[in-house]
Amino acid sequence: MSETKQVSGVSVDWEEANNAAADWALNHSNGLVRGILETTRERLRREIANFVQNQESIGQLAARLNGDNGPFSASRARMIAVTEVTRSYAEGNKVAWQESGVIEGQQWNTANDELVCSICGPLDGTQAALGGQFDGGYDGPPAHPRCRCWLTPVVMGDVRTGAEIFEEYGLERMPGIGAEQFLIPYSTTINQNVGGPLPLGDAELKPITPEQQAQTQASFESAIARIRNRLPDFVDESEWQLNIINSEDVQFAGQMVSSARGKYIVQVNLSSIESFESDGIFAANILDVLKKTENPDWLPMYYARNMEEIIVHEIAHASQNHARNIYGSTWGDWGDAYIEVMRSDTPGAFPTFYAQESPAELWAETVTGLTLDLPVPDTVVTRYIKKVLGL
Amino acid sequence: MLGKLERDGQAKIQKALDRLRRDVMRGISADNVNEMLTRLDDPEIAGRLKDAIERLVSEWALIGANAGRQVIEREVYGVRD
Repeated sequence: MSETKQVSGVSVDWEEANNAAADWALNHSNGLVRGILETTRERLRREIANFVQNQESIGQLAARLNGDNGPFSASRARMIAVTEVTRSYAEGNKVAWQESGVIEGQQWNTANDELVCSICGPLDGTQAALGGQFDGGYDGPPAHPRCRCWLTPVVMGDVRTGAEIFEEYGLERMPGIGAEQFLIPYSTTINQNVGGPLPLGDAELKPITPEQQAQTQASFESAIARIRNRLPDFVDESEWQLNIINSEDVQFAGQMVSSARGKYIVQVNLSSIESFESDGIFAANILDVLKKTENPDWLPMYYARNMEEIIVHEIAHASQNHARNIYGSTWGDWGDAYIEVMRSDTPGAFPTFYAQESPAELWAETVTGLTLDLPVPDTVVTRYIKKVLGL
Repeated sequence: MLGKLERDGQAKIQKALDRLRRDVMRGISADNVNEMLTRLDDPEIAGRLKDAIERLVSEWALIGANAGRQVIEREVYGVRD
């Protein structure tokens, strides 16, 4: 696994999506075959009854079975293909969207032409939560045999405003209220399985010494101090937990586990960070980047390089939620701005390493760079940070 | 793209149904016409249809998952083609 994945707070395992699609196909095809055989049996039974009753020849029976509307006909093959392509394609879409973690809704689409039926016409353009049902109780296309509708993903964005969240927690937002009052105190846990984008699974967890715990807590508090000093308004009012794990079986160095709005867990893996700091990955990657560009204005975006910086990066992921609440931007806005930056050919505008991975990573790395007073490409600030904040 | 999948799918389903027809009707005469129904219960015959359908449905679901992935990468993560 690349270092890009190691420090990522948001990760998508597309292999999981493929596995989920394959599992769905296996389950669904069992029922589908039973249905095809059952329908075939009913049609055969009826034709055999006609054959006996009318004293036909076998040739006549075979002709009817093979005929236009027979159980082995082209029209039946077409009906099954259209219906099942529609269903399988939609289910495959849904498992990929589910795996991405950024899609919250789905929209029903019809061809919007004269062939659209009375069932699907009213569904055109309607939306439902991902995994939820559309009007009429449909999980998605097909709504009927030969249905040709399809789904598109919907990024719904936050549905709660900052004001609603403050009201929920009985708080009134004031300038500078963020990190200072709500990051401390925090709780610390050791080798706790807290889930998250990169879960521990059955990883073997090694013991953590009191010294290691104290060092990690010191890094966490130092990271908090940096955030508080530089960006006091950029941290969500939440309950915070530091979960320290020590395992060679998991690949991440740090991750932000956002278990629910109002509680954030920063999880760090001592084993990964130790090798991350000592392997010279940073130096090697900088050299690699420099080989790819001869532009002296180009600034490599690579900021989270050790325990404290990785923690700043992970806290920055939480600041993203806060920024979205305060400034009302949606994931769609972030995606648009991110794409603009990634497509820009302006010198210094092409962030590298895990900053490239997603809008969330570009945000976290940029905030980390700003917090640590490291050089951040101006294009990223003007085209991304200011844009998603609407400044 | 769905139109092409449907056309290809129709041809492949037709092939599976043709195979089922041959399996069911092979050696059938007026004397053993009811055997056609019994053959639908034959695990070998049903298994061949099941394998064919399972292959197709898996293929279409994976195409759907891949298309879903591409949309996310393009629209949310900004991956360029």
